[in-house]
Amino acid sequence: MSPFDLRGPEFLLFYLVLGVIVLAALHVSRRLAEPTETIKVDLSDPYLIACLRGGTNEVLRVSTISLIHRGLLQVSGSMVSIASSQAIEGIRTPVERELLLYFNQPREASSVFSDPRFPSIMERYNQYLESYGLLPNRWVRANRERLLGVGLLVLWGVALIKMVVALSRGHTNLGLLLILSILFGFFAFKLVLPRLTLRGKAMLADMRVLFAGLTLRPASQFTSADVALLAAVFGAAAIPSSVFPHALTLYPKAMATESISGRAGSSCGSVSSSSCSSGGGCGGGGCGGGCGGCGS
Amino acid sequence: MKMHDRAGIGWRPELASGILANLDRIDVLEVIAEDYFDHAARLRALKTLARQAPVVVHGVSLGMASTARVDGKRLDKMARVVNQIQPESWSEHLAFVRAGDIDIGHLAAPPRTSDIIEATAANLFTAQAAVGSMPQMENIATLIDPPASERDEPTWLGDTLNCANACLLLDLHNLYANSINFRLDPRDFLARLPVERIHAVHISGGKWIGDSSDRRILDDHLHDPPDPVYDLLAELAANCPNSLTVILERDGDYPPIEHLLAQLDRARSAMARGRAARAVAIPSRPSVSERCAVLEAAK
Repeated sequence: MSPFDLRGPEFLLFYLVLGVIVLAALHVSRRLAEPTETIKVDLSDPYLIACLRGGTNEVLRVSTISLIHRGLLQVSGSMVSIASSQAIEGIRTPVERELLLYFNQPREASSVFSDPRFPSIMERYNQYLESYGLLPNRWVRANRERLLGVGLLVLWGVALIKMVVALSRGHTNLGLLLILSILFGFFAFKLVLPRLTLRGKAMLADMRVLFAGLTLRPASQFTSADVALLAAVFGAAAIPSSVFPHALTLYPKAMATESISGRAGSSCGSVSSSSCSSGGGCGGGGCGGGCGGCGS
Repeated sequence: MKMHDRAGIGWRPELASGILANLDRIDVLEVIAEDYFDHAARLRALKTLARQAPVVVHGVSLGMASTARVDGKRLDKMARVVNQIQPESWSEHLAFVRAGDIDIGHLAAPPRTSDIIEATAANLFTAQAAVGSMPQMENIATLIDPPASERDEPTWLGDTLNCANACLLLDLHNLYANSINFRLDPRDFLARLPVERIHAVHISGGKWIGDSSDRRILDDHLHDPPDPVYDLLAELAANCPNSLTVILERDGDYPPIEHLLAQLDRARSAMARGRAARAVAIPSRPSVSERCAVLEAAK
Protein backbone atom coordinates (compact mmCIF):
# COMPACT_ATOMS: atom_id res chain seq x y z
CA MET A 1 0.00 0.00 0.00
CA SER A 2 1.34 3.42 -0.95
CA PRO A 3 1.83 5.77 2.01
CA PHE A 4 0.02 8.43 0.01
CA ASP A 5 -3.14 6.34 0.34
CA LEU A 6 -2.94 6.51 4.15
CA ARG A 7 -5.70 8.41 5.90
CA GLY A 8 -4.88 11.83 7.39
CA PRO A 9 -3.82 10.88 10.97
CA GLU A 10 -1.97 7.76 9.81
CA PHE A 11 -0.11 9.76 7.16
CA LEU A 12 0.80 12.44 9.70
CA LEU A 13 2.28 9.75 11.94
CA PHE A 14 4.15 8.31 8.97
CA TYR A 15 5.42 11.78 8.03
CA LEU A 16 6.50 12.46 11.61
CA VAL A 17 8.58 9.28 11.67
CA LEU A 18 9.98 9.99 8.21
CA GLY A 19 10.90 13.53 9.26
CA VAL A 20 12.75 12.36 12.36
CA ILE A 21 14.64 9.76 10.33
CA VAL A 22 15.61 12.30 7.67
CA LEU A 23 16.78 14.82 10.29
CA ALA A 24 18.82 12.15 12.05
CA ALA A 25 20.35 11.09 8.74
CA LEU A 26 21.24 14.69 7.93
CA HIS A 27 22.82 15.14 11.34
CA VAL A 28 24.91 11.97 11.08
CA SER A 29 25.89 12.63 7.45
CA ARG A 30 27.15 16.11 8.31
CA ARG A 31 29.12 14.84 11.28
CA LEU A 32 30.75 12.16 9.19
CA ALA A 33 31.62 14.58 6.41
CA GLU A 34 33.32 17.21 8.55
CA PRO A 35 36.73 16.69 10.18
CA THR A 36 36.86 16.91 13.96
CA GLU A 37 40.46 16.22 14.89
CA THR A 38 42.29 18.98 16.74
CA ILE A 39 44.78 21.08 14.81
CA LYS A 40 47.43 23.67 15.47
CA VAL A 41 46.01 27.15 15.06
CA ASP A 42 47.06 30.59 16.19
CA LEU A 43 45.45 30.90 19.61
CA SER A 44 47.39 34.01 20.45
CA ASP A 45 45.20 36.36 18.39
CA PRO A 46 42.06 37.23 20.37
CA TYR A 47 40.42 38.73 17.31
CA LEU A 48 40.62 35.41 15.54
CA ILE A 49 38.90 33.75 18.49
CA ALA A 50 36.30 36.51 18.60
CA CYS A 51 35.61 35.97 14.91
CA LEU A 52 35.20 32.26 15.50
CA ARG A 53 32.82 32.82 18.39
CA GLY A 54 30.64 35.56 17.04
CA GLY A 55 31.71 36.70 13.60
CA THR A 56 32.91 40.07 12.49
CA ASN A 57 30.80 42.13 14.89
CA GLU A 58 32.50 40.38 17.78
CA VAL A 59 35.92 41.26 16.36
CA LEU A 60 34.89 44.91 16.29
CA ARG A 61 33.47 44.73 19.82
CA VAL A 62 36.52 42.99 21.30
CA SER A 63 38.90 45.28 19.45
CA THR A 64 37.06 48.37 20.69
CA ILE A 65 37.11 47.07 24.27
CA SER A 66 40.81 46.30 24.01
CA LEU A 67 41.59 49.78 22.67
CA ILE A 68 39.58 51.38 25.47
CA HIS A 69 41.29 49.25 28.10
CA ARG A 70 44.67 50.22 26.69
CA GLY A 71 43.71 53.89 26.88
CA LEU A 72 43.82 54.47 23.13
CA LEU A 73 40.08 55.10 22.98
CA GLN A 74 38.08 56.91 25.63
CA VAL A 75 34.46 56.60 26.71
CA SER A 76 31.98 59.32 27.48
CA GLY A 77 28.54 57.91 28.21
CA SER A 78 27.73 55.65 25.26
CA MET A 79 30.08 57.57 22.99
CA VAL A 80 33.59 56.51 22.11
CA SER A 81 36.36 58.70 20.77
CA ILE A 82 40.10 58.55 20.19
CA ALA A 83 42.12 59.42 23.29
CA SER A 84 44.76 61.39 21.45
CA SER A 85 45.82 61.98 17.89
CA GLN A 86 49.02 60.07 18.58
CA ALA A 87 47.09 56.94 19.58
CA ILE A 88 47.32 55.46 16.11
CA GLU A 89 51.11 55.54 16.06
CA GLY A 90 52.59 52.11 16.55
CA ILE A 91 49.28 50.29 15.98
CA ARG A 92 49.82 47.65 13.32
CA THR A 93 46.68 45.54 13.52
CA PRO A 94 44.49 46.70 10.59
CA VAL A 95 41.21 46.46 12.47
CA GLU A 96 42.59 48.47 15.39
CA ARG A 97 43.99 51.15 13.07
CA GLU A 98 40.67 51.42 11.25
CA LEU A 99 38.76 51.63 14.54
CA LEU A 100 40.98 54.44 15.78
CA LEU A 101 40.35 56.32 12.53
CA TYR A 102 36.61 55.62 12.81
CA PHE A 103 36.44 56.97 16.34
CA ASN A 104 38.40 60.07 15.42
CA GLN A 105 34.99 61.71 15.84
CA PRO A 106 32.96 60.74 18.93
CA ARG A 107 30.45 58.05 17.90
CA GLU A 108 28.19 55.44 19.42
CA ALA A 109 30.21 52.28 20.05
CA SER A 110 27.70 50.04 18.29
CA SER A 111 27.54 52.28 15.20
CA VAL A 112 30.70 50.58 13.99
CA PHE A 113 28.74 47.40 13.21
CA SER A 114 26.97 49.03 10.29
CA ASP A 115 29.95 50.86 8.82
CA PRO A 116 30.81 49.54 5.35
CA ARG A 117 34.59 49.85 5.70
CA PHE A 118 35.02 46.97 8.14
CA PRO A 119 33.76 43.83 6.40
CA SER A 120 36.64 43.83 3.94
CA ILE A 121 39.16 44.17 6.80
CA MET A 122 37.54 41.22 8.54
CA GLU A 123 37.82 39.02 5.50
CA ARG A 124 41.29 37.78 6.46
CA TYR A 125 39.95 36.41 9.74
CA ASN A 126 37.19 34.54 7.95
CA GLN A 127 39.63 33.22 5.37
CA TYR A 128 42.03 31.99 8.06
CA LEU A 129 39.26 30.24 9.96
CA GLU A 130 37.94 28.68 6.76
CA SER A 131 41.39 27.50 5.73
CA TYR A 132 41.73 25.61 9.01
CA GLY A 133 38.28 24.12 8.78
CA LEU A 134 36.91 26.07 11.72
CA LEU A 135 34.35 27.88 9.57
CA PRO A 136 32.79 26.14 6.57
CA ASN A 137 34.88 26.63 3.44
CA ARG A 138 33.31 26.37 0.02
CA TRP A 139 33.69 22.58 -0.14
CA VAL A 140 32.04 22.15 3.23
CA ARG A 141 29.33 24.61 2.27
CA ALA A 142 28.73 22.79 -1.02
CA ASN A 143 28.50 19.46 0.79
CA ARG A 144 26.11 20.91 3.33
CA GLU A 145 23.95 22.43 0.62
CA ARG A 146 23.86 19.08 -1.18
CA LEU A 147 22.81 17.35 2.01
CA LEU A 148 20.18 19.96 2.72
CA GLY A 149 18.87 19.70 -0.82
CA VAL A 150 18.43 15.96 -0.55
CA GLY A 151 16.79 16.27 2.87
CA LEU A 152 14.38 18.97 1.76
CA LEU A 153 13.61 17.07 -1.42
CA VAL A 154 12.49 14.09 0.64
CA LEU A 155 10.68 16.08 3.34
CA TRP A 156 8.96 18.60 1.13
CA GLY A 157 8.57 16.25 -1.84
CA VAL A 158 6.62 13.69 0.18
CA ALA A 159 4.50 16.45 1.73
CA LEU A 160 3.82 17.99 -1.66
CA ILE A 161 2.82 14.72 -3.27
CA LYS A 162 0.46 13.97 -0.39
CA MET A 163 -1.07 17.43 -0.68
CA VAL A 164 -1.64 16.93 -4.40
CA VAL A 165 -3.14 13.48 -3.80
CA ALA A 166 -5.34 14.81 -0.98
CA LEU A 167 -6.53 17.79 -3.00
CA SER A 168 -7.30 15.56 -6.00
CA ARG A 169 -9.49 13.52 -3.65
CA GLY A 170 -11.25 16.57 -2.37
CA HIS A 171 -9.52 16.84 1.01
CA THR A 172 -8.45 20.33 2.04
CA ASN A 173 -7.50 19.83 5.70
CA LEU A 174 -3.77 20.07 5.05
CA GLY A 175 -2.82 22.61 7.70
CA LEU A 176 -1.04 20.20 10.06
CA LEU A 177 0.96 18.63 7.25
CA LEU A 178 1.97 22.09 6.03
CA ILE A 179 3.06 23.14 9.52
CA LEU A 180 4.96 19.89 10.02
CA SER A 181 6.79 20.20 6.71
CA ILE A 182 7.77 23.81 7.49
CA LEU A 183 8.99 22.77 10.94
CA PHE A 184 11.06 19.92 9.53
CA GLY A 185 12.51 22.28 6.93
CA PHE A 186 13.47 24.74 9.67
CA PHE A 187 15.18 22.04 11.71
CA ALA A 188 16.93 20.72 8.61
CA PHE A 189 18.41 24.19 7.99
CA LYS A 190 19.50 24.45 11.63
CA LEU A 191 21.08 21.00 11.63
CA VAL A 192 22.88 21.19 8.33
CA LEU A 193 23.90 24.84 8.14
CA PRO A 194 25.33 25.87 11.53
CA ARG A 195 27.75 28.79 11.43
CA LEU A 196 30.69 26.76 12.72
CA THR A 197 32.07 23.44 11.58
CA LEU A 198 32.30 20.62 14.09
CA ARG A 199 35.99 21.37 14.45
CA GLY A 200 35.28 25.06 15.00
CA LYS A 201 32.67 24.28 17.62
CA ALA A 202 35.03 21.91 19.43
CA MET A 203 37.88 24.41 19.24
CA LEU A 204 35.70 27.11 20.78
CA ALA A 205 34.64 24.75 23.55
CA ASP A 206 38.28 23.83 24.17
CA MET A 207 39.25 27.46 24.40
CA ARG A 208 36.49 28.09 26.92
CA VAL A 209 38.00 25.35 29.04
CA LEU A 210 41.60 26.43 28.53
CA PHE A 211 40.89 30.04 29.36
CA ALA A 212 38.39 29.45 32.16
CA GLY A 213 41.16 30.17 34.65
CA LEU A 214 41.41 33.74 33.42
CA THR A 215 38.41 34.50 35.57
CA LEU A 216 40.46 33.41 38.59
CA ARG A 217 42.91 36.26 38.17
CA PRO A 218 42.51 39.09 40.66
CA ALA A 219 41.14 42.19 38.92
CA SER A 220 44.32 44.08 39.76
CA GLN A 221 46.37 41.61 37.74
CA PHE A 222 44.32 41.77 34.55
CA THR A 223 46.51 42.72 31.63
CA SER A 224 45.23 44.10 28.34
CA ALA A 225 45.91 40.70 26.79
CA ASP A 226 43.73 39.07 29.46
CA VAL A 227 40.87 41.50 28.82
CA ALA A 228 40.97 40.97 25.06
CA LEU A 229 41.16 37.21 25.40
CA LEU A 230 38.39 37.04 27.97
CA ALA A 231 36.10 39.13 25.78
CA ALA A 232 37.05 37.10 22.73
CA VAL A 233 36.41 33.70 24.26
CA PHE A 234 33.49 34.40 26.59
CA GLY A 235 32.06 37.71 25.42
CA ALA A 236 32.23 41.19 26.90
CA ALA A 237 29.88 40.19 29.72
CA ALA A 238 32.61 37.97 31.15
CA ILE A 239 34.94 40.86 31.89
CA PRO A 240 34.65 41.87 35.55
CA SER A 241 33.05 45.29 35.80
CA SER A 242 35.89 46.40 38.04
CA VAL A 243 38.23 45.80 35.12
CA PHE A 244 36.04 47.19 32.33
CA PRO A 245 33.03 49.14 33.63
CA HIS A 246 31.77 50.34 30.22
CA ALA A 247 30.44 47.11 28.72
CA LEU A 248 26.82 47.64 29.73
CA THR A 249 26.79 51.27 28.63
CA LEU A 250 28.40 50.64 25.27
CA TYR A 251 26.70 47.39 24.32
CA PRO A 252 23.44 47.08 26.24
CA LYS A 253 21.86 44.70 23.69
CA ALA A 254 24.78 42.32 23.60
CA MET A 255 25.13 42.36 27.37
CA ALA A 256 21.47 41.47 27.73
CA THR A 257 21.68 38.54 25.37
CA GLU A 258 25.06 37.13 26.35
CA SER A 259 24.29 34.26 28.58
CA ILE A 260 26.25 33.98 31.77
CA SER A 261 26.62 30.31 30.95
CA GLY A 262 28.96 31.29 28.18
CA ARG A 263 31.55 32.41 30.66
CA ALA A 264 33.10 29.18 31.73
CA GLY A 265 32.21 25.59 32.01
CA SER A 266 34.25 25.43 35.13
CA SER A 267 36.04 28.17 36.90
CA CYS A 268 38.54 25.83 38.39
CA GLY A 269 42.03 25.88 37.12
CA SER A 270 44.73 23.68 38.45
CA VAL A 271 43.46 21.48 41.21
CA SER A 272 46.89 20.84 42.47
CA SER A 273 50.29 22.28 42.50
CA SER A 274 53.19 20.14 41.65
CA SER A 275 55.96 19.51 44.05
CA CYS A 276 55.54 21.49 47.19
CA SER A 277 57.21 20.79 50.47
CA SER A 278 56.03 18.18 52.80
CA GLY A 279 55.99 18.89 56.46
CA GLY A 280 52.94 21.04 56.55
CA GLY A 281 54.60 24.17 55.42
CA CYS A 282 52.53 25.04 52.39
CA GLY A 283 50.59 27.92 53.72
CA GLY A 284 51.34 30.30 50.94
CA GLY A 285 48.49 29.65 48.64
CA GLY A 286 49.75 27.68 45.72
CA CYS A 287 50.48 24.43 47.43
CA GLY A 288 48.77 21.56 48.97
CA GLY A 289 46.11 20.66 46.48
CA GLY A 290 42.56 21.88 46.30
CA CYS A 291 41.64 24.91 44.30
CA GLY A 292 39.46 26.51 46.87
CA GLY A 293 35.86 26.48 45.99
CA CYS A 294 35.54 25.03 42.55
CA GLY A 295 33.90 21.86 43.58
CA SER A 296 35.69 19.74 41.06
CA MET B 1 77.01 15.81 20.62
CA LYS B 2 74.78 18.83 20.03
CA MET B 3 72.53 19.51 23.01
CA HIS B 4 68.97 20.70 22.58
CA ASP B 5 68.29 22.27 25.94
CA ARG B 6 64.84 23.75 26.33
CA ALA B 7 63.03 25.97 28.78
CA GLY B 8 59.31 25.87 29.40
CA ILE B 9 56.72 26.67 31.99
CA GLY B 10 54.05 24.92 34.00
CA TRP B 11 50.64 25.48 32.42
CA ARG B 12 48.42 27.36 34.82
CA PRO B 13 45.04 28.64 33.63
CA GLU B 14 45.75 32.01 35.24
CA LEU B 15 48.74 32.36 32.92
CA ALA B 16 46.94 31.06 29.84
CA SER B 17 46.74 34.28 27.86
CA GLY B 18 50.37 35.16 28.48
CA ILE B 19 51.58 31.68 27.66
CA LEU B 20 49.63 31.34 24.43
CA ALA B 21 50.64 34.80 23.28
CA ASN B 22 54.31 33.90 23.77
CA LEU B 23 54.61 30.35 22.54
CA ASP B 24 57.53 31.41 20.38
CA ARG B 25 59.48 32.01 23.60
CA ILE B 26 58.29 28.91 25.46
CA ASP B 27 59.72 25.62 24.31
CA VAL B 28 57.53 23.23 26.25
CA LEU B 29 54.52 23.23 28.59
CA GLU B 30 54.04 21.03 31.61
CA VAL B 31 50.50 20.16 32.64
CA ILE B 32 49.30 18.69 35.93
CA ALA B 33 47.71 15.36 35.04
CA GLU B 34 45.21 15.36 37.90
CA ASP B 35 43.51 18.46 36.49
CA TYR B 36 42.33 16.28 33.61
CA PHE B 37 41.51 13.01 35.36
CA ASP B 38 37.73 13.31 35.58
CA HIS B 39 36.92 15.93 32.99
CA ALA B 40 36.38 14.81 29.41
CA ALA B 41 36.03 18.42 28.23
CA ARG B 42 39.28 19.42 29.90
CA LEU B 43 41.06 16.44 28.43
CA ARG B 44 39.90 17.38 24.97
CA ALA B 45 41.02 20.95 25.58
CA LEU B 46 44.37 19.60 26.69
CA LYS B 47 44.65 17.76 23.38
CA THR B 48 44.11 21.05 21.62
CA LEU B 49 46.76 22.66 23.80
CA ALA B 50 49.15 19.82 23.03
CA ARG B 51 48.75 20.60 19.33
CA GLN B 52 49.97 24.13 19.94
CA ALA B 53 53.15 23.29 21.86
CA PRO B 54 55.15 20.31 23.12
CA VAL B 55 53.60 19.07 26.34
CA VAL B 56 54.90 16.98 29.23
CA VAL B 57 52.58 15.53 31.86
CA HIS B 58 53.28 15.78 35.58
CA GLY B 59 51.46 13.81 38.26
CA VAL B 60 51.10 14.74 41.90
CA SER B 61 48.84 12.12 43.42
CA LEU B 62 50.17 8.64 42.73
CA GLY B 63 52.41 8.45 45.78
CA MET B 64 54.94 6.06 44.31
CA ALA B 65 57.49 6.14 47.12
CA SER B 66 55.55 4.01 49.53
CA THR B 67 55.19 0.43 50.66
CA ALA B 68 51.51 0.84 49.77
CA ARG B 69 50.76 -0.26 46.24
CA VAL B 70 50.07 2.52 43.80
CA ASP B 71 46.34 3.24 43.42
CA GLY B 72 45.16 1.35 40.33
CA LYS B 73 42.28 3.72 39.58
CA ARG B 74 44.51 6.75 39.62
CA LEU B 75 47.01 4.91 37.49
CA ASP B 76 44.31 4.12 34.95
CA LYS B 77 43.37 7.78 34.84
CA MET B 78 46.99 8.72 34.34
CA ALA B 79 47.24 6.17 31.54
CA ARG B 80 44.17 7.69 29.90
CA VAL B 81 45.66 11.18 30.02
CA VAL B 82 49.03 10.02 28.70
CA ASN B 83 47.49 7.92 25.95
CA GLN B 84 45.18 10.71 24.84
CA ILE B 85 47.76 13.46 24.90
CA GLN B 86 50.84 11.49 23.85
CA PRO B 87 53.19 13.79 25.76
CA GLU B 88 56.94 13.70 25.34
CA SER B 89 57.22 12.24 28.84
CA TRP B 90 55.39 11.94 32.11
CA SER B 91 56.60 12.30 35.65
CA GLU B 92 55.71 11.80 39.28
CA HIS B 93 57.25 12.41 42.68
CA LEU B 94 59.41 10.27 44.92
CA ALA B 95 56.95 10.84 47.73
CA PHE B 96 54.02 9.27 49.48
CA VAL B 97 50.69 11.05 49.56
CA ARG B 98 48.42 8.79 51.56
CA ALA B 99 48.52 6.59 54.58
CA GLY B 100 46.04 3.77 54.59
CA ASP B 101 43.02 5.26 52.85
CA ILE B 102 43.69 8.77 54.02
CA ASP B 103 45.06 11.33 51.59
CA ILE B 104 47.45 13.51 53.53
CA GLY B 105 47.28 16.34 51.01
CA HIS B 106 51.02 16.71 50.73
CA LEU B 107 53.96 15.16 49.02
CA ALA B 108 55.65 13.57 52.00
CA ALA B 109 59.18 12.21 52.17
CA PRO B 110 59.25 8.50 53.03
CA PRO B 111 61.85 6.86 55.27
CA ARG B 112 64.92 6.31 53.11
CA THR B 113 65.15 2.56 53.63
CA SER B 114 65.77 -0.47 51.45
CA ASP B 115 62.15 -1.56 51.90
CA ILE B 116 60.91 1.72 50.48
CA ILE B 117 63.35 1.51 47.59
CA GLU B 118 62.08 -1.93 46.63
CA ALA B 119 58.44 -0.94 47.06
CA THR B 120 58.98 2.21 45.04
CA ALA B 121 60.59 0.23 42.25
CA ALA B 122 57.66 -2.19 42.27
CA ASN B 123 55.23 0.73 42.03
CA LEU B 124 57.21 2.22 39.18
CA PHE B 125 57.16 -1.06 37.25
CA THR B 126 53.39 -1.23 37.81
CA ALA B 127 53.05 2.30 36.52
CA GLN B 128 55.23 1.53 33.53
CA ALA B 129 53.05 -1.45 32.65
CA ALA B 130 49.82 0.53 33.03
CA VAL B 131 50.85 3.72 31.27
CA GLY B 132 53.24 2.30 28.73
CA SER B 133 56.34 4.18 29.79
CA MET B 134 58.38 4.69 32.93
CA PRO B 135 57.75 8.02 34.64
CA GLN B 136 60.58 10.39 35.38
CA MET B 137 60.73 10.70 39.15
CA GLU B 138 61.10 14.01 40.93
CA ASN B 139 62.94 14.64 44.17
CA ILE B 140 60.76 16.50 46.66
CA ALA B 141 61.38 19.23 49.18
CA THR B 142 60.87 18.41 52.80
CA LEU B 143 61.07 20.27 56.07
CA ILE B 144 61.34 17.06 58.06
CA ASP B 145 64.19 14.60 57.80
CA PRO B 146 62.29 11.33 57.42
CA PRO B 147 62.67 9.30 60.61
CA ALA B 148 64.13 5.78 60.47
CA SER B 149 66.09 6.62 57.33
CA GLU B 150 69.13 4.50 56.55
CA ARG B 151 70.53 6.73 53.82
CA ASP B 152 70.96 10.39 53.12
CA GLU B 153 68.90 11.86 50.29
CA PRO B 154 71.46 11.76 47.44
CA THR B 155 72.23 8.11 48.16
CA TRP B 156 68.56 7.25 48.45
CA LEU B 157 67.72 8.97 45.17
CA GLY B 158 70.54 7.18 43.34
CA ASP B 159 69.66 3.79 44.79
CA THR B 160 65.96 4.17 44.02
CA LEU B 161 66.53 5.27 40.44
CA ASN B 162 69.03 2.47 39.85
CA CYS B 163 66.69 -0.13 41.33
CA ALA B 164 63.82 0.93 39.04
CA ASN B 165 66.04 1.97 36.12
CA ALA B 166 64.14 5.27 36.11
CA CYS B 167 65.15 8.81 35.18
CA LEU B 168 65.33 11.69 37.63
CA LEU B 169 63.28 14.82 37.15
CA LEU B 170 65.61 16.99 39.14
CA ASP B 171 63.91 19.79 41.04
CA LEU B 172 66.81 22.11 41.68
CA HIS B 173 64.95 24.26 44.17
CA ASN B 174 63.99 21.20 46.15
CA LEU B 175 67.61 20.12 46.10
CA TYR B 176 68.70 23.59 47.18
CA ALA B 177 66.04 23.88 49.90
CA ASN B 178 66.82 20.45 51.34
CA SER B 179 70.53 21.22 51.25
CA ILE B 180 70.02 24.44 53.21
CA ASN B 181 67.49 22.91 55.59
CA PHE B 182 69.64 19.90 56.41
CA ARG B 183 73.07 21.51 56.23
CA LEU B 184 74.25 19.82 53.06
CA ASP B 185 76.39 21.35 50.36
CA PRO B 186 74.07 21.74 47.33
CA ARG B 187 76.95 21.33 44.87
CA ASP B 188 78.04 18.16 46.59
CA PHE B 189 74.41 16.97 46.60
CA LEU B 190 74.23 17.59 42.87
CA ALA B 191 77.56 15.90 42.23
CA ARG B 192 76.37 12.74 43.94
CA LEU B 193 73.30 12.36 41.73
CA PRO B 194 73.34 10.11 38.65
CA VAL B 195 73.50 12.87 36.02
CA GLU B 196 73.19 10.37 33.18
CA ARG B 197 69.63 9.75 34.42
CA ILE B 198 68.65 13.43 34.27
CA HIS B 199 66.76 14.76 31.26
CA ALA B 200 64.30 17.13 32.94
CA VAL B 201 64.62 19.84 35.55
CA HIS B 202 62.23 21.90 37.63
CA ILE B 203 63.12 25.34 38.90
CA SER B 204 61.01 27.40 41.25
CA GLY B 205 61.29 29.62 44.28
CA GLY B 206 60.39 29.65 47.92
CA LYS B 207 60.74 31.76 51.01
CA TRP B 208 62.73 31.78 54.20
CA ILE B 209 60.89 30.71 57.33
CA GLY B 210 61.82 30.30 60.99
CA ASP B 211 63.77 32.50 63.31
CA SER B 212 67.40 33.50 62.96
CA SER B 213 68.62 30.44 64.83
CA ASP B 214 66.73 28.02 62.63
CA ARG B 215 66.17 29.55 59.22
CA ARG B 216 64.85 27.21 56.59
CA ILE B 217 63.53 27.44 53.05
CA LEU B 218 59.94 26.62 52.23
CA ASP B 219 59.43 25.57 48.61
CA ASP B 220 56.17 27.38 47.93
CA HIS B 221 56.36 28.04 44.18
CA LEU B 222 55.25 31.60 44.82
CA HIS B 223 58.60 33.28 44.28
CA ASP B 224 61.29 33.54 41.64
CA PRO B 225 64.03 30.92 41.61
CA PRO B 226 66.92 32.27 43.69
CA ASP B 227 70.37 32.83 42.20
CA PRO B 228 71.85 29.58 43.58
CA VAL B 229 69.26 27.58 41.61
CA TYR B 230 70.53 29.07 38.36
CA ASP B 231 74.11 28.37 39.45
CA LEU B 232 73.14 24.76 40.11
CA LEU B 233 71.49 24.61 36.69
CA ALA B 234 74.69 25.79 35.05
CA GLU B 235 76.62 23.21 37.06
CA LEU B 236 74.20 20.50 35.99
CA ALA B 237 74.48 21.50 32.33
CA ALA B 238 78.25 21.36 32.66
CA ASN B 239 78.12 17.76 33.82
CA CYS B 240 75.00 16.24 32.29
CA PRO B 241 75.45 14.30 29.04
CA ASN B 242 71.76 14.66 28.10
CA SER B 243 69.76 17.49 26.58
CA LEU B 244 67.80 19.16 29.37
CA THR B 245 64.21 20.34 29.53
CA VAL B 246 63.77 22.93 32.26
CA ILE B 247 60.31 23.76 33.55
CA LEU B 248 59.68 26.89 35.57
CA GLU B 249 57.04 26.19 38.22
CA ARG B 250 54.85 28.95 39.54
CA ASP B 251 51.69 28.20 41.50
CA GLY B 252 50.45 31.62 42.56
CA ASP B 253 51.21 35.29 43.15
CA TYR B 254 51.67 35.44 39.40
CA PRO B 255 53.86 38.19 38.03
CA PRO B 256 53.44 39.57 34.49
CA ILE B 257 54.28 37.01 31.84
CA GLU B 258 57.29 39.05 30.73
CA HIS B 259 58.80 38.49 34.15
CA LEU B 260 58.38 34.73 33.82
CA LEU B 261 59.74 34.76 30.28
CA ALA B 262 62.82 36.57 31.58
CA GLN B 263 63.31 33.71 34.03
CA LEU B 264 63.15 31.23 31.16
CA ASP B 265 65.79 33.27 29.35
CA ARG B 266 67.90 33.21 32.48
CA ALA B 267 67.57 29.44 32.66
CA ARG B 268 68.65 29.17 29.02
CA SER B 269 71.65 31.38 29.74
CA ALA B 270 72.60 29.26 32.73
CA MET B 271 72.44 26.10 30.65
CA ALA B 272 74.44 27.71 27.86
CA ARG B 273 77.05 28.74 30.42
CA GLY B 274 77.24 25.19 31.71
CA ARG B 275 77.42 23.71 28.22
CA ALA B 276 80.24 26.07 27.32
CA ALA B 277 82.14 24.89 30.37
CA ARG B 278 81.43 21.29 29.39
CA ALA B 279 82.68 21.90 25.86
CA VAL B 280 85.97 23.16 27.27
CA ALA B 281 86.25 20.22 29.64
CA ILE B 282 85.22 17.59 27.07
CA PRO B 283 86.26 18.60 23.55
CA SER B 284 83.56 17.54 21.15
CA ARG B 285 84.14 14.73 18.70
CA PRO B 286 85.04 16.13 15.28
CA SER B 287 82.17 16.20 12.83
CA VAL B 288 82.14 13.97 9.74
CA SER B 289 83.19 16.83 7.49
CA GLU B 290 86.02 17.72 9.84
CA ARG B 291 87.22 14.12 9.85
CA CYS B 292 87.00 13.98 6.05
CA ALA B 293 89.07 17.14 5.85
CA VAL B 294 91.69 15.58 8.10
CA LEU B 295 91.78 12.45 5.92
CA GLU B 296 92.10 14.56 2.78
CA ALA B 297 94.97 16.42 4.33
CA ALA B 298 96.64 13.15 5.32
CA LYS B 299 96.46 11.92 1.72
